[in-house]
Amino acid sequence: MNKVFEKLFQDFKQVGQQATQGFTESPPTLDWLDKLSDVQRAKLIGTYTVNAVERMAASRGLNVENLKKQYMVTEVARRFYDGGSLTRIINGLSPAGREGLLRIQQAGGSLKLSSWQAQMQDKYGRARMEQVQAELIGNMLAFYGERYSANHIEFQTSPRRHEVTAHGFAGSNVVLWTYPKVLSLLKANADELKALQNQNTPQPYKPQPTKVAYEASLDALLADIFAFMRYLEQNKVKILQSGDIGKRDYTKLNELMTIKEDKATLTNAKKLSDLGRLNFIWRLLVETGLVKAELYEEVKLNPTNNDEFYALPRYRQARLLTAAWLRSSFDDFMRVPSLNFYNNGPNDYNDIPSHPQLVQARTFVITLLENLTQQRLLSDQQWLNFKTLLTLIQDRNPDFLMIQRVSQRDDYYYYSYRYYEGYFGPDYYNGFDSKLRQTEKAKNGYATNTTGLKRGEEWELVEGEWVAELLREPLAWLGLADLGLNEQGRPVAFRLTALGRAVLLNQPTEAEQAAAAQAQQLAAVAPDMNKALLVQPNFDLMVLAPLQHQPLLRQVDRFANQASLGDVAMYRITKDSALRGMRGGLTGAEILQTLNENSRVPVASNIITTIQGWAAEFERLVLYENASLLETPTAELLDRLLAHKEGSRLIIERLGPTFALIKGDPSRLDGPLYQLQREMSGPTKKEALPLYLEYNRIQPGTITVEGERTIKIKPYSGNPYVYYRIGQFADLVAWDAATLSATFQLSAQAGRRAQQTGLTYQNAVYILKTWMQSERTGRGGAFIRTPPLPAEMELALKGWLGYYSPLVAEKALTVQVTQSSQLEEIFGIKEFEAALIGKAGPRTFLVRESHFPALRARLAGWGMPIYAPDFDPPALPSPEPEIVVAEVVEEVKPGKRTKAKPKAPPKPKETIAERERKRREESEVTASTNPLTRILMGGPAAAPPDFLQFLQALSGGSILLDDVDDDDDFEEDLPPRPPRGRFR
Amino acid sequence: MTQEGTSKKTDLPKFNSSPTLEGAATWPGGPAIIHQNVVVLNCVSEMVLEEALASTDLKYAVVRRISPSAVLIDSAGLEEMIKILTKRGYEPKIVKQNLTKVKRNE
Repeated sequence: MNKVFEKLFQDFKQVGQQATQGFTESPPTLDWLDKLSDVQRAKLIGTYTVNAVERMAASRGLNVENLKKQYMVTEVARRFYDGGSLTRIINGLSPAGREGLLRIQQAGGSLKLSSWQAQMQDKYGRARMEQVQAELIGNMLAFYGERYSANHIEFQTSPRRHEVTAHGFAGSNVVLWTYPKVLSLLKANADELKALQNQNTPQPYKPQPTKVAYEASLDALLADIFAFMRYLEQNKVKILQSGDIGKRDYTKLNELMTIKEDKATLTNAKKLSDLGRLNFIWRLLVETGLVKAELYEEVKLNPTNNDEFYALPRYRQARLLTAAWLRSSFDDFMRVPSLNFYNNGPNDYNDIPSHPQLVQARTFVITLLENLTQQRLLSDQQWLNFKTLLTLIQDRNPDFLMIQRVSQRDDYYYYSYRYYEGYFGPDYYNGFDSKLRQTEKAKNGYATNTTGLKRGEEWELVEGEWVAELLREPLAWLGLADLGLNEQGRPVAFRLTALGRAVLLNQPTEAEQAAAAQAQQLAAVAPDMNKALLVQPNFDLMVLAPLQHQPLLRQVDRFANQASLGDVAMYRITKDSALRGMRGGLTGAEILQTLNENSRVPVASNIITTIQGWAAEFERLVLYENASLLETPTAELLDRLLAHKEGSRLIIERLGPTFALIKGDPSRLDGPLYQLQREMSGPTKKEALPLYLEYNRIQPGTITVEGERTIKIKPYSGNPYVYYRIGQFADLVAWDAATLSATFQLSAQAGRRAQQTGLTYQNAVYILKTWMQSERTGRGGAFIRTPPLPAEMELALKGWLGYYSPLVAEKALTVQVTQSSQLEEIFGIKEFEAALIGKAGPRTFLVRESHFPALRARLAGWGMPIYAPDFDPPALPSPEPEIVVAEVVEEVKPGKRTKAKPKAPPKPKETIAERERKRREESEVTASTNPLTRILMGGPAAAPPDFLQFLQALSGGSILLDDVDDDDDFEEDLPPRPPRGRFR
Repeated sequence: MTQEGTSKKTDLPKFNSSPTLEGAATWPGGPAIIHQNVVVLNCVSEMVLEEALASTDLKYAVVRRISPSAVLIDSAGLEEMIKILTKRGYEPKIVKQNLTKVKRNE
């Protein structure tokens, strides 16, 4: 048996062992009560009234007349554990008193007072019950306490003293407790035990419950597991970050289930764990190891575990699944329908049980049921009162799921986080409330009391509802128990199924035993009649009693399509289904073997030939992955190896004269090859050793790059895979088989070939850089990097492998404008599109030579002539200048004052437009010398024009070219500065 | 395929210049070689292989031709290649070998 199954069965066995030891489901450890100090004992006794202490003192043989309370307390505390007195008192107990103490003993040493009183009152009446209570308290065989946990019982929490028949606590979680020494002295006889057990078992429920929550059915679960597995097998299902399968898959899976999630739940679910049954099945599959689910990987089936699982008898299957559920992460608490959950953060801040708490509590409940079953106190198929089950659990261990009281010192989180939604206080369950609890509303609409559930008092609304949930869903799904509901849909009864009983007792059901016996008899008389398969000539298959023949069902399911599953499973073989099976590893022969061995009637010949045909077609091409291939220097060596006794066992198939596929570890061939080669070529040791070439791990340094196009494979480090990869984009120029070295050269032709293959520049560079020797850089060689390829090789590779498009050249003229805005505007004119090639700078553009005259004329027409002397026709020398400006020079004599300066020719008047233009041009030139504006304007920093827009967008339009240009304008727009000075 | 029913052999060196594409990696008197972690495609006949080479991109993925009906193919992009073959009606039966211990030559 596989390890997972072994562990699960072992876990379940341990649960069983606990059960056989008696009522010790998670026994509370009260040993510390045997180790109370004198002071603690005195304090304990001091919490009782004088009358009570007098009675206690009398029980320990003290004459209480005229004794003060303090003296009595000290003396009684001293004799607290006195064995002689205890034996005497226990032996002298009344039968009712003895029974009262036995009830506390059976509960493990502490029992809820109200429960104890109810049990005793039912049997003896109130007066007798009070007498017994006084008898136990007065004789110091039991005490009152407020229970927080098994390790924490408070003896007094208010100033009020305890009477022998009435406790002084204000709270409700009051228990009667005793200490281990008393328990060890109290020995119940068989009659007493039997009487107690009969009273402490779930009582029959009459009349029948109105309806059943879910019909318990293992068959439905097995059918769903089957469908689930088939889906996983036939689809590529990946595990998400949550560790579960995705919504797409579980939505499809839901359609295959016998019990489906309702549509609203499915739509609202964000992850698989938000669902019920589907999530439950998934957890079972993972826990049992029937599937392998690793993060981000595809889900895979575990064939070994599957085969084992389907071969198990039904009760063992159910037991295995139950064990898997016990320790699974399926959260049944969050599925309690009557609870409202608040989303208030991690579990630290609320009382929602964690996974370990749930596992422990589930184990407790199953142990209790197992225990009752083994003692024949829980008959199957009989409705039992659900309330009595809750009472039983509460008596055994009310803290089985959550601690009922939180002490002040444990309440750190509650005080720290009390403002969180869903926090009701330390005395309440936090993080959830109940839909069943009616909250009174005042006239103003506000609730008059908290919606929180009080610990201890409202146990049935929390723990009780959780137990009902266990019976309603997981145990019913597993086919172990049913939950009966009343007309209001509330749980009132439960019953164990025959399978449930078999699982708890770990033995087959009577029906299962009978079926096995019948099958055995039938096999002896008519072996063929015992076969479960009917193969019809029209390719229909019928599996009779499918859930009794699960291994067969599983086999058929691999190569046939299921049409229905009921008392008979209907299948149909199609080409697709048969191919699916073959893809899963089946061969045609194996499919036919399954059909022949299990069919009641002989398989029709048309089916045999068709399946053989499909198999032959499928096996036309066989692809071996991760294979090891032997290549021998001569065909003769391989011939000899195949004739060799040991060597032949290691060969799967001979693929060619010198090639063969090897089975398993190839190093096992070393011996035979060594031996055969020595026989053939003499003792040349070097040649006798086989050479191992690893295709998946090419070592860095295998290749070197030289010059602008040479790639060399280092001697003794190449292999055919390296040659193949380099040969994809380079031409072979030299090859030495003896040293496995080769030289390749990049070429345009090889580049074209590579492009045809689908290889890109990135692929080629990746190959080269991965297989080149890395080099150390940085101070002390701290960094390792791949050396760069020669620049020429890189550019050539980009060219040959289609990384760059071919270049285009044409004749063009550069035209310079004086302002960048002018350039933008010229580019904005549609008729210039054909003339313009592009921008060569912020104020330079390129024009096609052929279009230049037209463009020039057009611009000149708009008052923007282009100065291009090379394009102007040479000017003819004019005989007379059109305008001749004569200079009048007056002779100046020394000592003689000049009368008047000669007048300069009048300058043409500058227009406003000209002045503005000049100013803009100057500012643009100034701006272009500023590095920042140079970048902004796409100057020598080579920022593309789009970069300007990008910057503008970044700045929300605050950086504009105009802003940069018009700095002076900005200055001019400012109001004139007032002159400095105090007085004006 | 020719009229006689024999297939015309695909000229693999047209697609790759590897020296071992169709030749041996060892020689008479040389060592036996164990090629590890290779992907082998073995066809039922030479004709089937030639058909697959001619009608699919398989020819670009051939690392070596080891016999008329068997080739070693590139493990990179294998899934894609299987899809292409399947689409063209040459679905291969896949046999996954257990990864074997890697032995290295010093």
